[in-house]
Amino acid sequence: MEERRKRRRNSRNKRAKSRKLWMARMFLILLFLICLLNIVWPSREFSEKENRMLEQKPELTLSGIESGRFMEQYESYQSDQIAGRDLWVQLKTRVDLLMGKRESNGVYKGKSKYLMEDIKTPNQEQMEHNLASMCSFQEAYPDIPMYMMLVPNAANVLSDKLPSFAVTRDQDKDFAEIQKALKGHLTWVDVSSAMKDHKSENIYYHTDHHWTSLGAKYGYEALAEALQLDTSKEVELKPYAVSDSFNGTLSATSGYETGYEEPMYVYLPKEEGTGPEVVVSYVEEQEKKATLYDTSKLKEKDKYAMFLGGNSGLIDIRTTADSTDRLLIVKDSYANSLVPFLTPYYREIFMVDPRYYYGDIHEIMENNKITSVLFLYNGNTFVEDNSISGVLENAETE
Amino acid sequence: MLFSSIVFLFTFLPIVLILYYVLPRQFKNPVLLLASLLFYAWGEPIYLFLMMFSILFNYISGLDIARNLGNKRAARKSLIFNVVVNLCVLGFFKYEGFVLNSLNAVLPVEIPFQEVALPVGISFYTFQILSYIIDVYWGNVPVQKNLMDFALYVTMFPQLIAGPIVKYAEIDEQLHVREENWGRFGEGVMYFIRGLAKKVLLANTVGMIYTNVSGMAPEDVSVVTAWLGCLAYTFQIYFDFSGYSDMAVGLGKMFGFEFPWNFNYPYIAQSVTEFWRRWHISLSSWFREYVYIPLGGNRVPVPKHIRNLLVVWLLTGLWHGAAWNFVAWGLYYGVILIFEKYFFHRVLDKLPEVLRHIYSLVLVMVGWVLFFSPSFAGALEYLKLMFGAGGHGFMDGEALYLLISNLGLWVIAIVSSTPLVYGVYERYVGRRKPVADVVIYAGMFLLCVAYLVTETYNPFLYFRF
Repeated sequence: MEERRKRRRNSRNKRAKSRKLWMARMFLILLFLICLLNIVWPSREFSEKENRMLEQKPELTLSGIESGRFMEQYESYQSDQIAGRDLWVQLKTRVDLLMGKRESNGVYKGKSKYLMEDIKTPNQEQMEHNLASMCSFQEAYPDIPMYMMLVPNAANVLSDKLPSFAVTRDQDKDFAEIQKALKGHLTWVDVSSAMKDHKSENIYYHTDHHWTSLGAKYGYEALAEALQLDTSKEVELKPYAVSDSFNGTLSATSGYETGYEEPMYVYLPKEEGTGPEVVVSYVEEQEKKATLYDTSKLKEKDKYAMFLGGNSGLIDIRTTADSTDRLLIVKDSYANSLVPFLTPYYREIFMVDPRYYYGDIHEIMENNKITSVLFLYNGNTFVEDNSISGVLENAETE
Repeated sequence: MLFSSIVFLFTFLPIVLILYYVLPRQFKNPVLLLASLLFYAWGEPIYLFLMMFSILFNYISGLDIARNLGNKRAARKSLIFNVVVNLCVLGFFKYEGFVLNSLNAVLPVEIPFQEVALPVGISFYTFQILSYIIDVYWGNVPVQKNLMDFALYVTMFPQLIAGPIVKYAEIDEQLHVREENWGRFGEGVMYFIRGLAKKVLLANTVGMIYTNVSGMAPEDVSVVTAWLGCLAYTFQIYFDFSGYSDMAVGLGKMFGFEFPWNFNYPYIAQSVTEFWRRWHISLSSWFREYVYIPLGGNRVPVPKHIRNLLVVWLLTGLWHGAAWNFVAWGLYYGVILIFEKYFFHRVLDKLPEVLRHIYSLVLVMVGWVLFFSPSFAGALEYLKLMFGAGGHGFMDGEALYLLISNLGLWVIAIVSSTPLVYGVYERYVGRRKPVADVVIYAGMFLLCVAYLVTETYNPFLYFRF
């Protein structure tokens, strides 16, 4: 008996000892293996997946050490340049999903592979400032009709696609307040109900925060009604796929669905040559093109930039349309995929993106015989915008 | 530098391990000392000088007290001088802003001052130093004549910035003689990986729920949401702090040291008194040894005993932070402990286990509200939300979402704060299946690395429209 107990204790001790030995070996192997891989792993400048510049090895300076900046940079450098970074990131996202997490960096991983940006909370002070300056802008041009078109975001329209139990801010309520603030100055273009009517169709990209060309088309239809465009002579349009491998920014932001590829369409006249010709001038870039689409952007990560080349402070589109109307659009990137639908109705369309525009908007108004003004934003960008008032008030401050 | 960083794991630690194990014995302590100074300087380059001053001053002071041990009066004088200087340094860096803000609030004149940044770990290493000085004065430990060893005791990087508070008496021997071996190293690895997992996988993730709730507008917080936020913090602080202590113990073992335990499943406590026997053990035992017992402990008449308890808890509160809500937090526990000792004691013993457990947890959670709130008034506001005075109802969609979408995390956090997981693991894997065992630990470690790497997963959205 005694003998057997002793033997058992002996073997247990032995096992405990070999366990510790293996733990020690495992740890040292992993530690030095990763350490070595880090040393030989080539440094990258840019991460396609995250769409940002990665931190490079910081330079060692006395002042950098004293302020601690060197250490901070060195830490981000090591994280950014760790061997197999993208794999580590994927591992984490997988585990998070397993744990039931459906939200990452403000992006919901919804049903039917829909990624949706959370509804943003308005920055009250800034937004009131923007709204007030929009009203006084209208007062400065009482004869020119002005319109406000605020596009709801996917999380609002497709709320049934949000992950179970997820609740977002009530964007309809925010919109109602904005509409009230602009009442009597700008005509409200109700695009929310148009989007909601078509919510079973593909009106938002799955992996991007923009609306699809189809969504923009429904937006355009609502707008045409408000602008009272004469659509009787409208030429028939047809969607053409220009890409089948779009993976948008929401995917990059959240790390979800990084392999999901979706198509992009542009709407062109069914019969070639029936639409108006266009000349698109990117004023600040001093470039002119005869097309609304920059297909070179389809080779890059952010394919949505194909619509009117992405972001420019001021774009001037001249058309051969049979019209003398001139439209000014103050807008964010949602407008880029909608404007193609408007070209048959305007001789000239000016697109001002306040975030990148440093010129004088009143000059455009006065020198170009603008006949209507449209503000076109998506809800999330508008409620957080901090540049509209600056552009509109430009002349007053000078 | 933090243990839970890529730089520490894959640059600092490998280099220190190689140097430590390759160099002969007489260089091992110097290597550790240099590594520790670099470790400290990484986050606080300027305060390295303060650290060096503290080391030199206390080294000489220790020698002086030891020299005077024959002469009671002289030794006492030397001791008092030392303690005053140490507390003044701590006071200046940690409490200056608090004291002057409080004075300015009551005095008719405004005393101008400039708040200084708190040197990391100053509360921890000051207490370590004091344990040495007082024990030398009491004759409990021999004086340390080797400046290098003394400096190593003060700065040793595994426990430098977040404890455990290692008393000099516990480590005096090990500074001269200690044995590094594979067994101890392996044990250290297990401690370290468990600690890292607690910190990175549990504390950081559950902490995001707390951040989420604390960032909500008070009028949107329902009762259940408020409790979930508080519960999230309750888990966060435990896994964060105990994880850090486990990593410290583990790293100590890798270099041949044995540090004391700091946490022993505090949330399974059946009373608040028991909670404090299981929470931050090295701090409680420090106060016990160097404040409570010298004041007479419990071997004094009741009023004096109550005074002693209140003094200790006031100091405990202040040690955790320089603000009135920490004072309130300390006194809150002082009062509860006095009540438990003199009144609840008998009632508590008769209650069923479940009720005792709930009683302890609720009191501890209310305590954390005092702890995490930015001010005393803020704490009262949050408590109002928890007890239904917030006016946003008992339960809402937000609470349900917090609960459901983090269900896995909640369950893991709950079972991981009891001995259950460890017990079951040891029984079915740890003692039986060596391959599975090593693979699981390795997997945990790699997962931690993945989480650490993604902390900077911060896509820059220059095309955000």
